[in-house]
Amino acid sequence: MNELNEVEILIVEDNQDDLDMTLRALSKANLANHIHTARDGAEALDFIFCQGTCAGRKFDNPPKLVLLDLKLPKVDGMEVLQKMKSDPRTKTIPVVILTSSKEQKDVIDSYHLGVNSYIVKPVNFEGFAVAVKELGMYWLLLNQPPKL
Amino acid sequence: MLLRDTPIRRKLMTVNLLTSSAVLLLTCMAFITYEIITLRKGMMQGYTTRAEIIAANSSAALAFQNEADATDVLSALKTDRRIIMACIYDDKGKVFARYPANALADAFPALPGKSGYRAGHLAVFSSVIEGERKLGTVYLQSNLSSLTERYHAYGWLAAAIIIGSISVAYLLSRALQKQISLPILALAEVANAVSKQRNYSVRAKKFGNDELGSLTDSFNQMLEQVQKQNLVLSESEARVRAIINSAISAVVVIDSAGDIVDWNERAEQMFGRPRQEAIGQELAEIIIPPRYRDAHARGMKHFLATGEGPVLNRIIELSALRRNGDEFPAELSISPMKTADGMTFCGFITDITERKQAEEQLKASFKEIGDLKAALDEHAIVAITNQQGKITYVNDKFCAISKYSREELLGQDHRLINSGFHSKEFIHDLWLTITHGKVWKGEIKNKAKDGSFYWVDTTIVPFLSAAGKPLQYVAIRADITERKQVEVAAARLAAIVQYSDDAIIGKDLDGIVTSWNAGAEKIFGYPAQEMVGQPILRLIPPDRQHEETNILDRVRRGESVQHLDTMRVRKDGSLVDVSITSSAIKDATGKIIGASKVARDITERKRVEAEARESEERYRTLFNTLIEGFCTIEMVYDAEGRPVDYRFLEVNPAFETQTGLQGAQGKLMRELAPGHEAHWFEIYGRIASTGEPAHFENEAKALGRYFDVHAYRVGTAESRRVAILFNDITKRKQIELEISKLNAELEKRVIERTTQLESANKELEAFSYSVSHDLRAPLRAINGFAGIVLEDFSEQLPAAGKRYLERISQGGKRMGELIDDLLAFSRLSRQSVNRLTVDPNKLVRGILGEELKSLQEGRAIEWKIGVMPTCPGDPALLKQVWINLLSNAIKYSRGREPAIVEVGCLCDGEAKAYFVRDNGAGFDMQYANKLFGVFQRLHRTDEFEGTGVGLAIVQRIVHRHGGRVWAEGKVNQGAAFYFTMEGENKI
Repeated sequence: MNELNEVEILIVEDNQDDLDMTLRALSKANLANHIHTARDGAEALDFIFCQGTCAGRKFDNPPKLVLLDLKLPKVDGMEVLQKMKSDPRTKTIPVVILTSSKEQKDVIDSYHLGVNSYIVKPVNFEGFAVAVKELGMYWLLLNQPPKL
Repeated sequence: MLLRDTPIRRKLMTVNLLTSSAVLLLTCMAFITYEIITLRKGMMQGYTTRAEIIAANSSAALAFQNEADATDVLSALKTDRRIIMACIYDDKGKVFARYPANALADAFPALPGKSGYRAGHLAVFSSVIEGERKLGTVYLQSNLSSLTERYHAYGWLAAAIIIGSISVAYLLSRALQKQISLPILALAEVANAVSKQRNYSVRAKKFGNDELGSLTDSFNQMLEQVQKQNLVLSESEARVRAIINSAISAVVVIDSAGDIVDWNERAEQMFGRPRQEAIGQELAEIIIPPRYRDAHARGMKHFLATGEGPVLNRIIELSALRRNGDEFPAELSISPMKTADGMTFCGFITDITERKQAEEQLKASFKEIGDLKAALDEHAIVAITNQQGKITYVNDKFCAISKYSREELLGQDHRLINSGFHSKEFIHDLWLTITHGKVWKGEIKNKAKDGSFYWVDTTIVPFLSAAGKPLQYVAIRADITERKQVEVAAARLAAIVQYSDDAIIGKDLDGIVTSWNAGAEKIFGYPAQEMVGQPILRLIPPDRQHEETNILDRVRRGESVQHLDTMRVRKDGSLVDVSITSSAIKDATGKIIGASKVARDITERKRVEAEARESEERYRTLFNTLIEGFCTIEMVYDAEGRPVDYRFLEVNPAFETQTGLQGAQGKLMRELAPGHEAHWFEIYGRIASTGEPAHFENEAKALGRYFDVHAYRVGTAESRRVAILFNDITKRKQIELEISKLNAELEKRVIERTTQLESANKELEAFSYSVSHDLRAPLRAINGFAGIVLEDFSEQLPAAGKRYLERISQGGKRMGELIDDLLAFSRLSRQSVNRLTVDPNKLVRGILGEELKSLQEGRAIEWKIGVMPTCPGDPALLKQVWINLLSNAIKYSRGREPAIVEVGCLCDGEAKAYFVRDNGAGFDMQYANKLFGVFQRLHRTDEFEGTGVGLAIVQRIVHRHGGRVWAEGKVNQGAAFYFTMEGENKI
């Protein structure tokens, strides 16, 4: 259970291919040490709100970054984002939407809900790898989160 | 004179004097009485004392019987002359001594006597006492002279006092009584003056503020009020009198006995009796004719008994009597008045003799006027019009000539019978004349109800008010229709003769011309002066001279020659075709005195006849061969003038096929088709009356057909004829109906389709969303894992394996691009279009400087950018259009040195077409229609990269703006793309 409290990146992704490529890109950049994956929105909410299978986790050790897909089974990404950003305990956790959707509506809705960044998954391999690597670097190393 | 009647002044003085006198008298009497009593007592006492003294002095003499002594003693009494006599009696009562000595013993009273006053004297007795013994008695008798003296003195004194006191009292009262009597007298005097003279203006003088003073004031006030009332009363009376005297009516007032108590000036005049004479007389006697007197008496009695009367407070007419015995008609009203003395009656009597006469005269005048009017009505056509021109009266003759009933005419104005013949000025002049109060005379043509015309010689007389304004107009007319007709006919005849193109020639029975008109001059070339008096034979060609002889023979027999077509010679010698009609001229007695000859130049007629024949033939041919139905009809009207039917005068052969009606000619439409709609009659009736042609389509249900109709009037309104050219359009109408039905269905179907399309659109949206998301995931996997294999395992792979993997990567990449473009394209149909003003100049500069900057790197492109007008549109979408067009131009001009790209706008008035032209690869115009299809390309990807969506996007955006896009090009000679924003007002 301690591992859960040391998680730095939460990846919410239902697509195994994308998940593998993301993990690969992160590990290539040496950022894959403390990663937790959620395969649908419900799992993501369990982890974030320290409930269900993640009941032992504590709020005072938040992940440094949540990579959130929008199209998810059970609870979709937009709802997860909305719940996170409307709860004071989880509001400050940086959330990056990583999705295939280029729809303006999705982009605008996400920003309205307070997303920290919105990234469309590049279709070509190089682009995807570079994007994941750079956002991981930025949020984990460069970004200064607020002290709780 | 009684005290109460004496004047107040004397009364006051008398009262005063009497009062004071009485008091004084009483006082004096009391005093004197007292004095007398005292005096007598004193006298008594004095003489008693003297007697006693004598007694004392004589006692010795008595005792000694010495008479002398005693007489001596008595003689001492001589000193008192008032003592008449005295004596001394002895004890036996015998006179002993006496005084005077010669006094007779008998003169002395016998003893015993008592002292006291006796008649005329005083007797005193005194006993002479010696010891206890009575010796005798002394007697003294004195006269009363002292008393009498005193009495007189007292009397004088009292009288003097009384007289003095009364005098003083008189003077005092006389002086003081004025204080009272003066104001009273003054009041009395004023009152006297008031009562005697009825002068209320005098005022009593006021002397003080005592009761009399206030009495004076009150009296004066009373006087003042009386004076005021008097004034009012006298004024009102004067007024009443003046009114009564100035009344137009005689005013007679009688009391309940019937006696006259008042009689004004007018009554004096009316009845011929002065006031003085009338007053006091019995009314009945002097003004009521004898035969009415009983009734009058009964009426009075009845009223006095019951308080009711038939003549009271009403105006009645009756006969009244003058002094000279004349009776005259009078109007009387009587009103009863209650007065202090009982009941009086006030009668107002007006002499109505003149009025009665006037009434009689008026009746006579009315009768006369009535007779005159009857005479006028008998003779003339009469109408009376009010100021507004509305007819207020018409006589029978008017009705008869106008053929309108009286009810139809009254209240109408004369426009009803206006024939329309006269000019506006004529009517205006008429009105101007009569409204100015002047009589208008003239001849007027009117129209009767049945439409016929009649002429009337009219005199309109305005009847004026006192102010000179016309109140009504009386129009008196005489029917001159016949005369007019004759006049018109004569005038027409004269005109005909004068202006006729025909030669109208008069000649005598010898064939000498007597008249020659302008027509003759025209036809034959001779002026009148050259022909009148000349033989008619001058006109006749030598070979036809016998004709004239024939004509004259026939005329002499009274026959006429009709339309003899022949030839005559003109002045210039040329021949002319003429038609001659000749008839006899008779004088008043019927004797034939000459011949009239009418010669018509028939050269023209002959030509016209030929033409008419031709025209008729043409018309017939047309009439008979016309495919359209043609007919002429004559309208039939009902009694109210409404068109209700028509008769076919003529129908062409096509008529039957067009209408299905057989043998229509000469028949009525209602006969042929009783159910024929009324609107047909109305339309044709309107055309017949107005002359306005019409073109319309309408249905004739009775015939089961629709017609397209051209109709126009033939001739004048009176002809009532309409020509109708028509086509049976039943089939076309059916088709039209079908079409409109189909249209309605189509409309419905469009709505259904639109709904379907909308739901399809929604599905498409959902679809493209999922494509955007789901389709890319496997693509990423393909690309990703191919990349990973190449990256991680390239050393283990043979060269071919590596190439294939790269091909997989490229394929994936291209598919990604296709998906992206497809998504962008599909998004366009969902995106809403904002209309703002867009400046294409700015847009193009911005795009070239930014979005397409990288594309131009390493290229030599010559830009020719013209100035373009702004247009309304969605800035973002228009930007996309320009990006796509410009990037295509750059892309397809690759390899040209230099590449030339032109940008501009072709303006033609409002129409604007923006264009982008390049000198690049161009295209074959036969594929131009494929350019704008999605994924449609005219080049291979390895020639020019691209997905084939760019132009499709351009077209969709332009269409969404209501515009149009097209392309021109030639292979290797460049391409030009145009678009418009024409539907600038749509969206």
